[in-house]
Amino acid sequence: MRAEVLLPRPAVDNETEPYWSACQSQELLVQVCEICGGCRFPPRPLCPKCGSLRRAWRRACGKGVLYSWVVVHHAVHPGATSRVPYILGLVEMEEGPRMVTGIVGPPERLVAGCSVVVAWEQAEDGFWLPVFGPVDRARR
Amino acid sequence: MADKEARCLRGQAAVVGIGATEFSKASGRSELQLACEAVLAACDDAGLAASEIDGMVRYTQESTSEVAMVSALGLPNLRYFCEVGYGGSAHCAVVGHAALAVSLGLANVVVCFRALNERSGRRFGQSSAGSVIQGVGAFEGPYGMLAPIHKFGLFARRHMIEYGTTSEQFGMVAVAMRDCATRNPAAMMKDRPMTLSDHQASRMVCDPLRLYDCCLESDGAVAILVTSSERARSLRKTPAYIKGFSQATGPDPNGIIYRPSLSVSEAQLAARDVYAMAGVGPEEIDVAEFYDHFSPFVIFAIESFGFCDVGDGGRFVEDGGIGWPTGQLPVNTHGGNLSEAYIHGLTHVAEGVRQIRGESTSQVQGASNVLVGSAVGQVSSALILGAEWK
Repeated sequence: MRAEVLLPRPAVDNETEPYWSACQSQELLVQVCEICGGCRFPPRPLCPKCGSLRRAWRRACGKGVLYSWVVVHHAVHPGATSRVPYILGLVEMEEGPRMVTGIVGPPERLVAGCSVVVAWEQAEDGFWLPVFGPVDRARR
Repeated sequence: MADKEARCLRGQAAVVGIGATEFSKASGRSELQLACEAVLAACDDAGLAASEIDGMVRYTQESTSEVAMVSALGLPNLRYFCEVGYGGSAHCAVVGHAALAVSLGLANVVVCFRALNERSGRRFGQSSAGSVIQGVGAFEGPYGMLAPIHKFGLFARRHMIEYGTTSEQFGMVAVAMRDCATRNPAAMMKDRPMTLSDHQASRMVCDPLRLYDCCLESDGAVAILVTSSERARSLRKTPAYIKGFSQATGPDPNGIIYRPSLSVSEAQLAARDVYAMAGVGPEEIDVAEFYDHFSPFVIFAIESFGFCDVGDGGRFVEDGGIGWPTGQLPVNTHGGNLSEAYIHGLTHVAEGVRQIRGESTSQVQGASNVLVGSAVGQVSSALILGAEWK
């Protein structure tokens, strides 16, 4: 049997290791400046607001709003063939920065600024990724 | 703001030669050969011997090196060479850096080129990502965000959200480009007229972008020759004087989609600087060649370069503003990336030069100031070409 091709996995380095490790325990982290308290994404060495190198990770609340999204119909990578159509979103986290993520749920439910909450998706190889889905209005 | 020294570059250099290969889906020859063919065609156009080339400016994404070109063309020496960041967004910047080198006396004749077997070789719309992805892409690739359209579609969606821009308006951009292509014998789509219904019937590739919102995939090469304005006046063709050029990153460009707003472009900054250097404003521009990797970015460019208010670009297109010959601002009179060929924008520079010479197949009568620019979404560059040197 031919093993299914997976989407690429992240290269992990000193800067990003805490983020990806936490993901494997289904915990979403965000990088924070220890001087001005500003949060940023993707991770980087300097605070873009105050320039400080002092940084830490803190647990994100997992809530946000949808800033923009696309529905991918055409697979550009063998790992995406069995997934189309799928939704890619930019979520504005409650902590401030925007992150790229997968969006679960039918595209018809998506509107700009709708509330989304983190969910967790495990790939065939066991790798966990944070994805987001719209908050169910009925249950809210 | 461009300072006094930057304004002193106005009109110091000119484009004197343009050359290209045919545009196809399979060139059947190497990118090095395509590049050399385009350079020799540009030399012939200018009436200059290739041996006079002593400067070269490349895109960082160009895979044919300076040394390969020097050896292949048999050039005696390059005394100035450099490269400008990225792909499509570099098209005006390479020409601007050539003008800089010429105006400072670092070189006499500088060539800019882009050679691509993009359709028959590595296709930018396909991902070549391996099992592990580096850099900012590490936070995107695992979700399947792997092609430019996945990022640029987020801009298109945001423009629709904030300003009510529609897929039909994107389609009207594509139709206007196609209309010009049908008059251009070099255009890959010259025999393929297109209506708005055709656009709306084309399949969704990455909603909200349809197939006909996407640029072509092309094999081919384009070369641009720049020399001093003084020398230009004694050469074969009417000089296209370089009155202004600019580049802009705007804030937080890394990864393209993390900038503060996806509904306005960094090109607003490139527009401010190119107009300042050239000493003209949007009201003096006769025709524009705007980078169209995806149709919505013509709308971003119309807004960024000040032809309407931000948010009104869709209506500008819908009202016929970009059509040839009657539009307020004819755009992409060669057919653009969408319908002529996709050679990372040097086709747009070449078309700007043809407009100044009066050689376009969709000629704007008496065009004396041509804007070539991009509102790419990552970084942008712009060029104002003029029939008069100042």
